[in-house]
Amino acid sequence: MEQKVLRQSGKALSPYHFFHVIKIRKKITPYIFIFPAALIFMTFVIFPTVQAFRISLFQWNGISPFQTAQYVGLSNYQELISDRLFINAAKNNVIWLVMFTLLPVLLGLGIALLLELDIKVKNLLKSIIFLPTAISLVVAGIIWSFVYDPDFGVLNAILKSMELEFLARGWLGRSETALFAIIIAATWISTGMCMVILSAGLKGIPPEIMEAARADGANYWQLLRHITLPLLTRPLVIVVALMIINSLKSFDIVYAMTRGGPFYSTDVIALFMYRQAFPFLRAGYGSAVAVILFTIILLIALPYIRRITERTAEY
Amino acid sequence: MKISRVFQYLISITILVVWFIPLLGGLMGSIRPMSEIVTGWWNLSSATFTTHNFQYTWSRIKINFLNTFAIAIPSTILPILIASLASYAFAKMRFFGRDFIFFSFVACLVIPGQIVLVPLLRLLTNLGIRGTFPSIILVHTGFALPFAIFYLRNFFAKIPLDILDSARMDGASEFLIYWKILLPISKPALASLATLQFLWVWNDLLFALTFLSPETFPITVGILNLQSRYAPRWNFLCAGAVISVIPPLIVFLLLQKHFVKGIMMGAIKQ
Repeated sequence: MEQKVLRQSGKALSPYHFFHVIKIRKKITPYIFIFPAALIFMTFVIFPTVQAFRISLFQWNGISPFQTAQYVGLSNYQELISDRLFINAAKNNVIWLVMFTLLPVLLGLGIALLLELDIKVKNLLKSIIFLPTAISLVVAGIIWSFVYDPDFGVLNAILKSMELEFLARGWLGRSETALFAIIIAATWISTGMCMVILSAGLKGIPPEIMEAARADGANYWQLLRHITLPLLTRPLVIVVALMIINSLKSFDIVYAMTRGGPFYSTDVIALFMYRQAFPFLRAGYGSAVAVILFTIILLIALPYIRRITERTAEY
Repeated sequence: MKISRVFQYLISITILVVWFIPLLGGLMGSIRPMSEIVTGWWNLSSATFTTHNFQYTWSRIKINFLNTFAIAIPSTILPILIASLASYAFAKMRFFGRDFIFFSFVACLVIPGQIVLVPLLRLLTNLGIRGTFPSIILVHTGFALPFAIFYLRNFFAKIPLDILDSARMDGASEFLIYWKILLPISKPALASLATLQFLWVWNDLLFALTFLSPETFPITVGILNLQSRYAPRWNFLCAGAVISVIPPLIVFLLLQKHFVKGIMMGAIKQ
């Protein structure tokens, strides 16, 4: 190492000088390595996030220079609490959250358990459930809109063929069914992710435990309830947290399928925020919505983050 | 026992059919003329195969398709490069503030994209790059960093120190060690990250819609522009859907193992 420095500098240095150069080099190298990441991260993530908090205290159209924005204190937040359309979007988001957490997690769990059994179509089942993971929410929105089409959709055709014609309807065109129709499409795309994570969790359960319990005469349901599910707590917590966060951020699929209609029956917070900030040019108001969304997500994700950082600290 | 067996198959096949029908519908809609779709894509009494839907749709969304590559490839490579550089420092060097800086990155894993939309639009406008490819590449890079750093730092930490030390003894610089030793032996981890990130960027709508312009819109916006206000032209929409899923599907099928590994590390994205 010393020789290398000598060669590079091209002239003889006192032993003390050497030591010094190496030491400084060693000290700044790590900072040089993290500098590009830190710079981009500060500029495009941290700085704008902090800015959003500030902008939420202003009345601003988002286009004219920010200097022209008017400081309004917390009045954007006050207005939000009494904004019926915001309340409506928040209410829909709660429905999303509950259904979009329950459906993919329960289905994913069920399929993961099914895959543990000796079934011939196992691999096909696994592949086809996981395939939609590669598809964008926009594409999922389009092919499911096709399924739901009132005249040419396969869903109504199936109902008609089963003599259930009275159930057939324009699924996305009616406010009582549109939200659920979108959540089903979102479930179709997300179940694979839940299945894979839970399946890996199942594979991690030591077979000896199962065999011991079976030897004691436990049946399948007793095994499931007293052994499998308790041992599956960690992956279950992960998928539930993932689904909750995704449901709060849901935007793409609603935008692709209904844009929040009919009559705001499928509106969600992220879509409400986008509409206020961009088409309606209420950047301050939209930022207030974003801040609320950010805070809720952070509160929900905190235990999750703490867990992964703990896991990291083990190294 | 027998009844439960029948039951298992019944459930499996029901799920299979429910998952498969939308995919099949999209595929059939893309290769049949609209005049046949109106009688039902499942109705095969007079089935005609046509490439017209693809020809028309391709002429409309070709530009978006190419744009998506121009966005997704740099948005995959850049974050992995700079995240791996930082992760090397986090995993194998000692310096003041190391753990604090590392955890600060990881803690930002769940920042929702929504919060930065308004401030970033202003910043990108001020920088004069709004609506251009570099703008969205930088944003995607920023948002990819927490997970990439978290993932790579943990991977690098498991690499035995003596491999790196022997190179150090030979007088290799830290950068050379990173480039010639660390990156090559980390290929599996880099492949996992690249798969996740490529799919993530390819499928993004929110950032594209907010920061880009009609000349730079990617495929997700392109397909939505095929939607008409009145009767939907399912033949074109389905063809657009098929075109747009081909590249991510190829990546997904080729690199599925890496993709699953990435998810297992605690994928927060989707």
